[in-house]
Amino acid sequence: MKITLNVWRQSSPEAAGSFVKYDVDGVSADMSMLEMLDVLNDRLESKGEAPIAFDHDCREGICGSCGFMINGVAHGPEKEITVCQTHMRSFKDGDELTLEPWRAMAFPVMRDLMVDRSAFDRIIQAGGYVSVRTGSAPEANATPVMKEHADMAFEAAACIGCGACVAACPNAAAMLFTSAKVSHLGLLPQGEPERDKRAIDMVAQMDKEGFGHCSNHGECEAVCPKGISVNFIARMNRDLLKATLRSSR
Amino acid sequence: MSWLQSLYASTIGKKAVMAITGLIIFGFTLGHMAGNLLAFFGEDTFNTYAATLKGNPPLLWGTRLLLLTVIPLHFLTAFQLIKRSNDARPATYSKWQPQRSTYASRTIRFGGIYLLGFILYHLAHYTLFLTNPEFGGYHDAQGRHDAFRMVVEGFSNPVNVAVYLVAMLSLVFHLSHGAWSMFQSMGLNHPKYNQLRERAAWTLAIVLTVGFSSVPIAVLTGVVHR
Repeated sequence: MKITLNVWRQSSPEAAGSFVKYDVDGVSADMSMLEMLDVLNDRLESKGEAPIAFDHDCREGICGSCGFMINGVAHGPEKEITVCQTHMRSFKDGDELTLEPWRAMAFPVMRDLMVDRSAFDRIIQAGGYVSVRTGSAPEANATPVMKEHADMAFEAAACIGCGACVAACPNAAAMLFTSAKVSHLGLLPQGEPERDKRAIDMVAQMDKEGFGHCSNHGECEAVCPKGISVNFIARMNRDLLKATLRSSR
Repeated sequence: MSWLQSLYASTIGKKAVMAITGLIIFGFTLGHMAGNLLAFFGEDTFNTYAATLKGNPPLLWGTRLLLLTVIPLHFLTAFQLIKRSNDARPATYSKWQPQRSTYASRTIRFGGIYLLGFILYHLAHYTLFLTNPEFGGYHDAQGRHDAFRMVVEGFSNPVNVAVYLVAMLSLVFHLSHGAWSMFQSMGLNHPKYNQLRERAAWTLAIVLTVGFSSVPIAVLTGVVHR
């Protein structure tokens, strides 16, 4: 396969970037998007050019490191997978692909397709601690958890923090990410004591980072590699409004 | 009250304000539309309705004060949110493909801006008589303000009808997204009722638009006449 790429090249956070066109020959349909970029980078390096920088780690779709826009869609055309699991068989010979980094004020571009997502870490840190009994391990079935809640908590916990929700949102909102993090502890009895404080503090940090608001477009859910539902956003809204009304602060 | 200030400062608090003010405006428009439909029952019924409203100052001014509070708040909050959204993505994508968002959700702000302009024109037209000062001087046989004549004359002008119908078209899209979105913003979400929210939003949006549009169309086509 021959693929033409328009890749965003930016040498540093301060530098102005632009799109650069690359023709990549000999692409196998079995290559992943990142393997295709590895091949291109080898060729670029052999010519003495700087390779295209992109984040990656597990390449199994579970770590949340990779991610960029492929033709205007976060993580590319396939549903519920990351770019590392997007294979070239999803495209045709002769296709032209535009690769662009996540764009958000809170996600500054570090280089090429890499963005700084530490805003997400600060939102998680703002969530604080969970009160648990330390010492000997409690009996596993001592705390009953409703099956529906356990399933929902698990769905929320599946968030890998890749940032696709922010990238796809027309408002660059981090509502899906934050709501998944708020809900995955808020749905379990272990997270209950700090539930109100956690919702207030995490939303405050999310706003402080400069993310936008939710317009209920649903773009985030459509590109989430873990298929996390916007129902969690409503749950966070409910948690925040209730917490604000009843908290002592 | 600092908790209220910090709630309003938050994106979720602002969306709650959008939802609550939107719901109040929505409720008013339903009542307004029902009143408008009385034009089909003729001059006497319509003018009696208008005189009843004007003859009840607590109802009239209560509604006016409520709307004078919530409509500016709805727009002010919307503008703050739009600014926030623009600031959140200073560099836009060279290419962006919508996956799930709808025409209605993406154009809600533009429909809202048109509706703001329309509301101001509508007030100048039929409430403050700025565009047509003669409207204030119309009286029927019983000496009441002849609101019916005002409506018939106003909508005999095709330009007025066109401006009105475009506003109603904006309203159907604005509400088809806004009227279910407000539940989501207030955290009212349940798999059993989620589909109902969206269907109810579309149904009510269409009922409102058809109801409102029927009067100017009926006047222009001569179905409603003096």
